[in-house]
Amino acid sequence: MDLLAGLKQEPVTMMDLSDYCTADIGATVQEVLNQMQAHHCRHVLITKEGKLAGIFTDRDVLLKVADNKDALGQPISELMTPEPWTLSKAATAADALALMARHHIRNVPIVEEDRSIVGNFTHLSVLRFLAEQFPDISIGSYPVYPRRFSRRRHGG
Amino acid sequence: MATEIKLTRKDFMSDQTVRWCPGCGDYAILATVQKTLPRLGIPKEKFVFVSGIGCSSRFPYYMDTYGIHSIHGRAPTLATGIKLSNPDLSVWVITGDGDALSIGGNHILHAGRRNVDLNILLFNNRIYGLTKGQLSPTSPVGTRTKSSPYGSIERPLYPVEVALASGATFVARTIDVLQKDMGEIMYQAALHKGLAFIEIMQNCVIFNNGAWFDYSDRSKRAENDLFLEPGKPMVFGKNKDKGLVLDEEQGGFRVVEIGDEYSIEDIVIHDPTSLENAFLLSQLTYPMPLGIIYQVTKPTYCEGMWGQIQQVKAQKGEGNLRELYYSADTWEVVAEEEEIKAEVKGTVEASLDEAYIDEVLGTEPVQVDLAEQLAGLTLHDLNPKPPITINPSALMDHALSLMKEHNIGALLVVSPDRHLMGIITEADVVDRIAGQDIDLHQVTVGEFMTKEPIGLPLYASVLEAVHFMTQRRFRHLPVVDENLHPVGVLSSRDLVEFLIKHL
Repeated sequence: MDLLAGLKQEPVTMMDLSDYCTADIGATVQEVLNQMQAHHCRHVLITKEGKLAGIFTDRDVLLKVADNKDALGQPISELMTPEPWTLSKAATAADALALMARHHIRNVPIVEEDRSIVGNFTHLSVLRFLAEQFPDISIGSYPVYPRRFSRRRHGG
Repeated sequence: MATEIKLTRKDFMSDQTVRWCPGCGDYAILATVQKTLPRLGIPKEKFVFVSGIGCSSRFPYYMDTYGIHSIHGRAPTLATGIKLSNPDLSVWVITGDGDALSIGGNHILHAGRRNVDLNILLFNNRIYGLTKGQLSPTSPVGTRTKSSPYGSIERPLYPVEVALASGATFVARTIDVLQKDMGEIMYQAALHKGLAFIEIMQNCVIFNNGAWFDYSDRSKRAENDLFLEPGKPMVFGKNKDKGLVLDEEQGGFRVVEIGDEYSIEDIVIHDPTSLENAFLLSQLTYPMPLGIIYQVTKPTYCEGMWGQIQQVKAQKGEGNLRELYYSADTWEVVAEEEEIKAEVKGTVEASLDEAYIDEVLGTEPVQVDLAEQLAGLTLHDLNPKPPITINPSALMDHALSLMKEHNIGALLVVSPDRHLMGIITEADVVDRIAGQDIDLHQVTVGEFMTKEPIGLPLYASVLEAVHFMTQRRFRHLPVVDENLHPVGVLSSRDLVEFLIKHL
């Protein structure tokens, strides 16, 4: 297995692009936040008439919303990042990684030519691809010292 | 030059209670060893006794010397290591018929083959005693035990035969009841350079009592035991009226009576340097040859190994382990560069110019398979960022400011004594802080953190981190040292950036 060649040949559409949820551009920040909480979702692709218009992530929540209650009533279009960098379905994993590195971004939405959403390429997509290359990864192959497991899903 | 060392048997007796059955032949062997060692003039601290598993292998406890009660069958191997690293030591292996010939059958062979300068004492009671009486590899055909209720159908091994075949350079046999002879053989074995192997016929009073009765009983042993003396004819019997002659037709020794037909002149002279003679003796059971069966001088393993090291050092200088370690084979994976570039060029929608792609993807040939490299990496290799930490009693307001200030998604919550207590991440902020009716100046980090998060040690593999991040969807993993003190945070970004760097 050659991982590099794999990344360069793997079409993004073959990867796990499910790390997102969507919200309409007419929603308020509070509504989007509710949706993020309900689905444990960290990246929200904002659509206008079904087409990608912007992106809103947990980092935006941290930076703009968490200690600013006034933001909650605002339309999401005020706080989202408009016109994010995207790639087409024909791109490869390596393309997406290069784009991430270049712009220091964590999300690369994959879109059709008409900008309707195909999926969202994130760190999780990359790591899942990696994990598939090593199907025999198993916990406990070394003596972990603090053998502690979080009882909650949101460990970190 | 050497100062006279006067030790006595007492010096070799430890304070441990001897836990062999009353009447066990092992007591006699222990006493003989303790009496023989002082004769050697070697300081106490130069003796090491290594044993495997079994009744006999409790021996090192009872000797007031260095010793290891080691792994089943592996005593010769352990002893080889000891002798090799410190050739000054007098290393003794204590083993039994099961330990040496069954479980450690392979290990004993290689000690002999290499002619390691060890003294191996094999206590042969022809039974598994410690496990309460099962068939051993030296049990004779027909032996009824708990594991062979209708009698053994297996040809037994003769320890002397095995030792000779493996290449031991000193092979002897003795019996527990003859302490004086045993002591002398041990003494000779200790002086011998190379592998000295002594089979000691030993009585197991509980599970195989009388196994050697014909050779140990006072009334019988004179008739059945052949006491070997180098350069002397092999005669035996109460009146020394029987002896061994070579039977050319049968191809072995034959017992004859010395009298009219055969004179003492016809009896074969014992030549311990003759391997043929030794092999013929090893197959005899009547009479039972006792004494030094075979002894020759050959280069020992330690001499060879140390000689070779000196020789190579003289040629090449001192070695460098680090260099050696990093000199492993590398090979080039020929990337199909042209093709891939074309593909990249044709597919990118966002404005990725070619120069940039080259910059990121690189044009040099790939040296090592990245997958293989990844599989061998630890968190340490990724050099995780030092953690930004916060006290559990700090206010959430402060936590948010810290995350914003450093533009990071996770803070490690540590106690005043630097123990990892929790983690607070942007996911917590989204799920439980933002949009809630909470006064950030009133609540503490401790109330909102995820308690007792998974902390991976620095030596955890990168793949392990990948596993946690994909299976449990963590984006940040605390990295801790052996005291549970956090030393870093590994983020999914770190992993992705590592990949990008190698693209």
